[in-house]
Amino acid sequence: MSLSNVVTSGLDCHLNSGCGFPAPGAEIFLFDDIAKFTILNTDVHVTKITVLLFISVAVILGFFIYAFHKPKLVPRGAQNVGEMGYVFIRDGIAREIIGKDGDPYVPYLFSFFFLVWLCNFMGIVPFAQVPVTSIFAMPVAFALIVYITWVPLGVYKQGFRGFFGGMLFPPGVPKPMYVLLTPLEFLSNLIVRPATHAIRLFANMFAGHLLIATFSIAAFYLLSASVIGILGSAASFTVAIALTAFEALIQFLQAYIFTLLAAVYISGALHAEH
Amino acid sequence: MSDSAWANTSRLITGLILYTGLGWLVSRWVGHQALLMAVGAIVGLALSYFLMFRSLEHERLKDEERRQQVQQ
Amino acid sequence: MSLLAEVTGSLGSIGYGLAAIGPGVGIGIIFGQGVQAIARQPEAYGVIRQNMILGFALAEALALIGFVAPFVFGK
Repeated sequence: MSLSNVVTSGLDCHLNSGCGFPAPGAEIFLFDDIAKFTILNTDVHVTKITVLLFISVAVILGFFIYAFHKPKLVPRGAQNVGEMGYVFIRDGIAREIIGKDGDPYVPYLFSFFFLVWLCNFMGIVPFAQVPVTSIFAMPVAFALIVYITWVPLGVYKQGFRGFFGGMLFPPGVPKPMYVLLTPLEFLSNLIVRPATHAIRLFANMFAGHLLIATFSIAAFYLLSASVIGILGSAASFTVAIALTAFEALIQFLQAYIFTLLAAVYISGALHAEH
Repeated sequence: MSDSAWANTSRLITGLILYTGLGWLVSRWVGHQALLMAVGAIVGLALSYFLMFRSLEHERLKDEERRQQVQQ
Repeated sequence: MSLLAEVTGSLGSIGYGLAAIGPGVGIGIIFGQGVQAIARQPEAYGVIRQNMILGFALAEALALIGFVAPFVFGK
């Protein structure tokens, strides 16, 4: 978490120093480039977020390749944990939502769940302390990948006319209502769905990070020679710790919901709705 | 580990890189717009997903057949 | 035309406060009905919990979009 506000106001900005409370805004999500190079005519800026993303992917790949590379019939250790994770996705998400023929999609959902969870989890890891998914580009990329998975899948499984017909013209509606209903369904299914899929994840992580930052900065700001200051600082620090615990729950929940909704969209593409 | 795991991983990675590269070449030919490279990446991703899911469903069907044979 | 009323200051907080009314009611209804459903049929706990979480996420998203909107559109 960058204390840029406090640092620019001076590291001695406390309660009675005459500066106002340096509230964190959207600028705590701007990071400086660690490295910058131009490849294929595009500028690539490497920031802390990029490094954290690569670390997340490396940790997931490393752990699950290690867990599954010599599988024994009775699992022990890392394989046990890996299998628990796999069974959680397969039984809890894929078989519940898609059914038995959701098994081919379990690796896809599994990768998404653990990647989103670890990217979220970077928000409470010391020294990292920014959730990778709180930068708007990351949830947009994830939601875009889900979008270009389920739309061509639906067209492939149900045919162009069957898929879009079933989605945009729901059966059992009197004919003139289609004039009102079809633009609404088109907008809601094909445009708003990926948007809310991304925004839900982004807004949760953004809000959580902002809250923890606010209470941490408040704990620092209130440290002054007055009794109110000390009490307020202690209370702020306690609330920051409580919010960190709350964030851990929300991060897992948001990863679960992202994967659940991806499974719902895939299920809508595989089986005709209604 | 199932032998389809590495096959599918390589399908995803090579599909993405190949079609991103093709998209970049087309964008260079038409006049530098990075958008075409992004379109190439999306097309490559969709195609490699298609191949990956097809191979996974084929595996699942074979598992079902084997299970039914064992039951009989 | 003379100015009759004006709101100054942090409009973002007021916007978020207004945006949190609807989802608050919605989430209360979702979890209330969910708990009632579990009380009626405890063996369906898994299915009910899954649908409860799904509905909660969809309603919560609107409140959080209200939280983020001032940062996007604000000065």
